[in-house]
Amino acid sequence: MDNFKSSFFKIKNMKDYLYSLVRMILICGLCFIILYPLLIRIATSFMGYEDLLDPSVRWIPRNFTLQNYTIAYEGIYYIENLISSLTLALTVSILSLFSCIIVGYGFARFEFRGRSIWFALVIFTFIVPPQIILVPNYLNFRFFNLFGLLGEEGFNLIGTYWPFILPAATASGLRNGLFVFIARQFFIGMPDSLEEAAYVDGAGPLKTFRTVMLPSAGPIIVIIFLFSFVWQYNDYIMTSLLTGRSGFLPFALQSLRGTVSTLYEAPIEDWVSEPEFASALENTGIILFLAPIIFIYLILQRYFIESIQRTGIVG
Amino acid sequence: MILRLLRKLNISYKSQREIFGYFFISPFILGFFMFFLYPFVMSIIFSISEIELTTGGFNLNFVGTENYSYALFSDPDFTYEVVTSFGTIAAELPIIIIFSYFVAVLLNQKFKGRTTARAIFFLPVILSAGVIHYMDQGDFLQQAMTASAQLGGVDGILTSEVILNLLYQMELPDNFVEYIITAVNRTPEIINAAAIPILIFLSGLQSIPQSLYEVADIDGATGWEKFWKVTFPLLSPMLLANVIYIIVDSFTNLNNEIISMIQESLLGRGGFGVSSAMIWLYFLLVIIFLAIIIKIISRNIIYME
Repeated sequence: MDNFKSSFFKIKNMKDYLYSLVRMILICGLCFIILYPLLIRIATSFMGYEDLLDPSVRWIPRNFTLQNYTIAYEGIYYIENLISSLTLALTVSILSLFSCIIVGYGFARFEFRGRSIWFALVIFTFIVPPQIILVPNYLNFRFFNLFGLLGEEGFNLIGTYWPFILPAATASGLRNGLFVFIARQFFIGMPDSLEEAAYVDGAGPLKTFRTVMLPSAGPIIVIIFLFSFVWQYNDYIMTSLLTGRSGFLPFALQSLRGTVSTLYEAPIEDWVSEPEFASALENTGIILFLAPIIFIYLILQRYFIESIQRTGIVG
Repeated sequence: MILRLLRKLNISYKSQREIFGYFFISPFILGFFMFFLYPFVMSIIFSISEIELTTGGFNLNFVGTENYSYALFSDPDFTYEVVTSFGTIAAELPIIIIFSYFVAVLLNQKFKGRTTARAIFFLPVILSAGVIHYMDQGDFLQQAMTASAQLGGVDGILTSEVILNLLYQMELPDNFVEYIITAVNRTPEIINAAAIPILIFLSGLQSIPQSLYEVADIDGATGWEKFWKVTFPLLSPMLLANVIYIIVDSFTNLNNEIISMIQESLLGRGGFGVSSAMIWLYFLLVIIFLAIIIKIISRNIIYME
């Protein structure tokens, strides 16, 4: 009997072991597919000109060089453009964070007439593709006069940060409907007793929100900030239309080839006309472009994943 | 302070709450009228008129349904692209759903390096940049990568040739085999599209009380039964959320062929009017598509009380 028992447990152990092995292989494989584009970019970014033309060089550069980085760094005017991209993304994400949390709190915690209609409208703004309102919004900001309140002529806000600041501050920026939804779901889940205790202690709704609710909203603050920041930083259509196409990393990346061929003399000037070299340069540029968001993600990643567990984005 | 004022004015508690509710959502109300409703209505007007840009603004000339009929009958690509894009999403939706559910279950288990694995799986959320996609279209490296993957060469990330032969030898229906092969070939795209659905499923899995599984264990349920009787019903709200998210995302995403086509025609061929008409036609179709799918799924949804 004892003998049988021990062999039974051995089989069970084997099964568990096999299962976790298969799981490991699967997860590693899928992770590799996700990381593959990033890894190949990093690999090529360190290759010298000769390596890029030599088809036998794969993954590991034979002539290791940082030249691609110095050229791409100059070619996209990295520091200047990075600062303006980061400023815009930070401004927008902080403003959206505030406005969406406040609005979400209102939807979650107060009963008022027309609440469900307004909330349906929030969802509607998320479903409507931003491209539908892109052109009218451009014209709206080009001749901005608040339905005629600011005079007939209006102001030209194109080229300033206002077309981003105003919608973000009023919870109607890029994908803000989703953020309001996330915030509402979170605040609905907070226990009623917390709020009641604050009221009994004599705090008004504003004070309750600031001192009781906000401090425990850490998880959604991280999620909303991260999403909003990343989407604004990566955005290219809206930014190109509303800022007049200058001084941001995405456009600098697009015109990298042209910039390099005017900035540098031979031989680099000639190298750029080779598709292999130009592509390696662009990929180096993309790595430089992604570096800040990957860095932010690595810092926030732990909170991000934890907060998903705690909030339960939907439901 | 506001509260004290309201009390002085002898306003009931209920009305106070209403006033505060509106106070909290007032930013959205403002933004909704200024930056959503106004452009939204304008875009309807644009779609039925011809737009001329002048120095002091723009002029609209009413043209009726001309833009719509141009988009539907005269434009060479529009109808074709619309049909293709609906076909693609209908084919991909089940794959993305099944895949993201499967990954969510994997990531929900306890194993070494789980945090790292999760961080990597959510990475596409961060890296799905419009500009990167745009650059990749003209990029030599990317083209070389996809070309070798399609040929099934050694360099390709997936060698589908072997699987293809295997599936044909199993004498499965050709349509089915082709479906599987396209799915396999599009693995990277599917993984990227699945990032947020995985998040949603994962949060759903974590909200299922463990006690339900314990009860099922006591009653002697197998893993298969537990899936269909416990997990699946309780995840059905997440399923609906995911279906909506995947559809909306694929239609508003910049990688979408139609959206980029409409963006091109904004500056070229038809101008503002035609591109507004196109996007409206497309949007209406998407809404109808969504409504049908929601109708089908929500009939079978179970909400936990």
